[in-house]
Amino acid sequence: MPAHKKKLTIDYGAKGLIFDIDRFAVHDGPGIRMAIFLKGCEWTCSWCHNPESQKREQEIAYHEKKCISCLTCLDLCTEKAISYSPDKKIVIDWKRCNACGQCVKGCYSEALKLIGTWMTVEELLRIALRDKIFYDCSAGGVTLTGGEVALQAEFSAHFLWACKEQGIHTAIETSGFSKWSRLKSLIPPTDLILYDLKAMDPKVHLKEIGMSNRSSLNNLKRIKEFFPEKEIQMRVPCIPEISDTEGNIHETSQFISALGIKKLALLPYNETASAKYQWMGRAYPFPDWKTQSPAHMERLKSIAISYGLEVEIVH
Amino acid sequence: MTGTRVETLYKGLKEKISQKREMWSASHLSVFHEEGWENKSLILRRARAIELQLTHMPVDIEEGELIVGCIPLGSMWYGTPFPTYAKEEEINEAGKYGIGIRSVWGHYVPNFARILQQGLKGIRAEAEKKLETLVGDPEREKKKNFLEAVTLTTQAVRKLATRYQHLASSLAEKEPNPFRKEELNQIHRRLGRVPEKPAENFKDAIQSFWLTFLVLHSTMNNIPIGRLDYFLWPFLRADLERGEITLAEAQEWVDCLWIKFNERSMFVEPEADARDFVMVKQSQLINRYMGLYNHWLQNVMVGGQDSEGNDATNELTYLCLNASKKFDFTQPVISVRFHTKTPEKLLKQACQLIQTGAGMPSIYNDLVLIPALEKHGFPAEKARCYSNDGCWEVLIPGEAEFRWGPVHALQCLEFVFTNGKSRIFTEEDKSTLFIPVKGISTGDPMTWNTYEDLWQAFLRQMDHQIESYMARSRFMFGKYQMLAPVPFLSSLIEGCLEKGCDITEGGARYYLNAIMLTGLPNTADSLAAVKKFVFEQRKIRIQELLRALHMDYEGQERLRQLFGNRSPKYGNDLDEVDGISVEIVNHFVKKVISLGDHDLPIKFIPGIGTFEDYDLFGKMVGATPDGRKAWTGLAPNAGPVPGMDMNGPTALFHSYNKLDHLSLAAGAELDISMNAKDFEGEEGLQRLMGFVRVFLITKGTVLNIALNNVETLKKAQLDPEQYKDLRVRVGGWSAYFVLLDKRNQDHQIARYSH
Repeated sequence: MPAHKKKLTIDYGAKGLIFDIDRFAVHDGPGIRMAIFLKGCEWTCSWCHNPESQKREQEIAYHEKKCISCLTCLDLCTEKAISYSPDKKIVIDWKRCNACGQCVKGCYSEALKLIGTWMTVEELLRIALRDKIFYDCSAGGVTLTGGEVALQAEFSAHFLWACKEQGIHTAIETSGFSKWSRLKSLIPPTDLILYDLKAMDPKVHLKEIGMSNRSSLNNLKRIKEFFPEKEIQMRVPCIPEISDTEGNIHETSQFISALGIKKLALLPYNETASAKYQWMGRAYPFPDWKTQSPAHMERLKSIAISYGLEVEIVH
Repeated sequence: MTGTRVETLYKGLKEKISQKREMWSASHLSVFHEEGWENKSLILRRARAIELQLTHMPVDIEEGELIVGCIPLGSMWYGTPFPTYAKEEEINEAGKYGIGIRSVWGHYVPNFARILQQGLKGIRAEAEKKLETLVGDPEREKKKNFLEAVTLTTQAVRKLATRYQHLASSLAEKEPNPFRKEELNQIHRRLGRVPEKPAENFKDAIQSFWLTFLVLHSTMNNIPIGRLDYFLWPFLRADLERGEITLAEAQEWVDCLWIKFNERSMFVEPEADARDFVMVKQSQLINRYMGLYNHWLQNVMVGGQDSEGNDATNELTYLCLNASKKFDFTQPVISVRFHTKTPEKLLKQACQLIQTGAGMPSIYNDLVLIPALEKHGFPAEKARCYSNDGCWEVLIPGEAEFRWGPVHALQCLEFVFTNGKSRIFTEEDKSTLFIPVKGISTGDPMTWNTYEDLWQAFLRQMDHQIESYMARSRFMFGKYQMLAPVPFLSSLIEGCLEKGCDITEGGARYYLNAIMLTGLPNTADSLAAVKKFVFEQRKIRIQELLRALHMDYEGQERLRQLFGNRSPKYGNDLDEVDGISVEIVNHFVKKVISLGDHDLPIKFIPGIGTFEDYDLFGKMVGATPDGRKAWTGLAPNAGPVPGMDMNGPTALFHSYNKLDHLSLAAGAELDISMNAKDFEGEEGLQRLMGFVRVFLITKGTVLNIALNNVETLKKAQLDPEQYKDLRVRVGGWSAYFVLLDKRNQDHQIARYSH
């Protein structure tokens, strides 16, 4: 058996940093699925709709609407990072905050939250097994997404193998931006790969995402080469004027169809991201961006279809 | 929508129901206007009133109609829907028991098969035969009155059919279109046959059913429909075998029937005064409540098994679902029964209907409900034929009287904290069959040392309410005959003619009483919070808790947030709270069963539910330790407190599933509200089917999945004109969202805001 196909000894105590679990995920693969959102991503997409997914460590979020101005947090904060403001209820000095989580303990209204929980393979598996009957009855399973799955490759591999051992269908969602050795370890225990491509133009990619797309594209080729039977679904998050252009869809479609990939999902822009930025004490740079018109999405779809792809628009 | 006839009828109805409509009033009719009736028995006068109603209420045949007969508006509690038949002293006497002249009930299903197979003629013959056997019977006079009342009312029904016959022939005479003329002539001939004689074919059977149904609904019996695809199928099957009808034609007839069920809908709130619904303090709210004037308990149950346990799904099952899918109506409220032999196609079509956002069908699980009914003493062949009442509780159709009442668990918990006093009701308020205004004294909460002390006090309050409810139900047995006997309905309930007894006197074969545990999720959450913070963590002292509840959390917002957010909530698959809900249910069931033996034939069947009254029940309880403020609505049925199911529907499902459903034969409806967008298309359908499959395999009783989305509901709240057809599920049935009051609209929005 080649090395990359060999099953590793599962470490049920391996820990991953998780920022969310959705036990009834509907956008991350077929059937009823548990989506596990891993925290941390090396890309810094300015429009990212999960800003809490980016950092690789725990952090604090503040949800002003929930705050009842009890001011308990002022006393609990050892770093003096919280102050009172009559109109904003409380103000967090984000530079001082070290995300120790003390304030969260006393925040009963849950206005303050600690984003990111360390969980073991065993803990996650227990939840997944609880819902296994739903996966079995709907051809569903679990999906590891993020953040970037490959950043926590070791933990992810242990978890995926643990799922396989229990007969649970597995999927990962990745940008493919990773050292090949890390990404490679995730492929054997994965049944379905949801592979995100953003901009095909290297210049656009570098400018908007802060990193080159070379690793992403190369890794996709490698997956096709070393794991030709693996089911892959490509996904393009449609970011206004970055990835939702006709040119980008032409290029993407050409690239993936040449690799023999059949399925493409187009994800219209998600307008609801800006609120999350507020909670993280950040400003959303694109408050005026709107989701694409159905007509535009249909146009992109027909372009991709012209390359022989099966295309769906996933809202 | 296909077919011009159905389309035209649909459009005509839509237009009609969006305008203001006049209520039919029977205020000018009285049995006392004629001499001789003064001295007759009440049941005969009531029968005469039915006759007056059926000979005077308006008759109408719409252009293009195949099935004829109209139910007058106002039949649901508005204005004066029925002629005078009772004397003042009788009304006063019954009033002492809370029984009024407008005490409509009608939650049970008549045996429609009897009218289809025997006709009115057959029923009359049976009544006459029974009369002959009464010689020497000590209750001869009483039974004679009943049997004569049956004869009189069946004749009255025939008279109504004749009125329609005349109308059809006079319309036929004037009709220039030869096709329509022939249809009208056929209607004329059909009404000459049914419901007087047995139905000869499917069309006869549908017309016979509809006329019987409309008579009952026009005479203050809002009865559900029951297993329509079961009792009509033999007629359709025979016609199909003989080649006398095509499925397309049968579909057209079912569509027409569905339109009939919606004729009483109103988008403009009626002005007439509502029924004297006995609900302390809140009676003024009932009118608007839930757009109740558009709900007549029109429940249809399809699928399931026959009495031998074979799959009963048939072509008509699908025609019914097709009709429900075709229209954006709320009526009839359709439910589907599933078991191991149910075809996959039925699951698929049921889920496709759910996908439309209809809030229907509800899913009933034979795998649990049949054994549960057997456990409560029903023979298998009866249990296999179960259907539902006007809300969603389970009953045996055609041979059972049915009543229900709540045991308000959250109120019991309030009594524990107040030593038996309500925070809402005062001493002057009167208890009703439904809601007591006080509990018993269970001691001073300040003396509790452990959670067990609180728990025991809670159980004593609950036991007291169970005992009181059961005693009161037994006390009321047979009382309704003093003012509200139902001779025609009784003739369609097995047992009554055999015994010569009205159903209100004890004639029915079964008397079911669904005793419903109400407010379970809120109660379990409240107990869990007190257990955790007061007794385990000792974070909150009892006096702090009592003060906060007393003050409705005023100035105690932080404490309220602690209870609301930091304690485990039902619906999230957390054993520390789910375990409490299990214990409450187990105790409740055990207590009900232990009090079950009695001389009276009432069978008390436990279930869990609030129906559409989750808001109303909430208004009866002050602040509670789950972080709920006074007057706030409760969690619907066995579903979660709106917005508190943080771990998604699968976790909710596990919480629900821990309950002992095999003991809950009246059912425990799990209401799940989910985002419609997540269930679109073929993938969404697969997900939905998967979800239902799990529900069936893991043995839940009743499931309702309502698909909607928050944005749409919010928009509809602001712009009701544009969203007239938007439907939501309200406890036991579908309602038009824009007709709900603001509180209930907000409740719906909260349900979809996880």
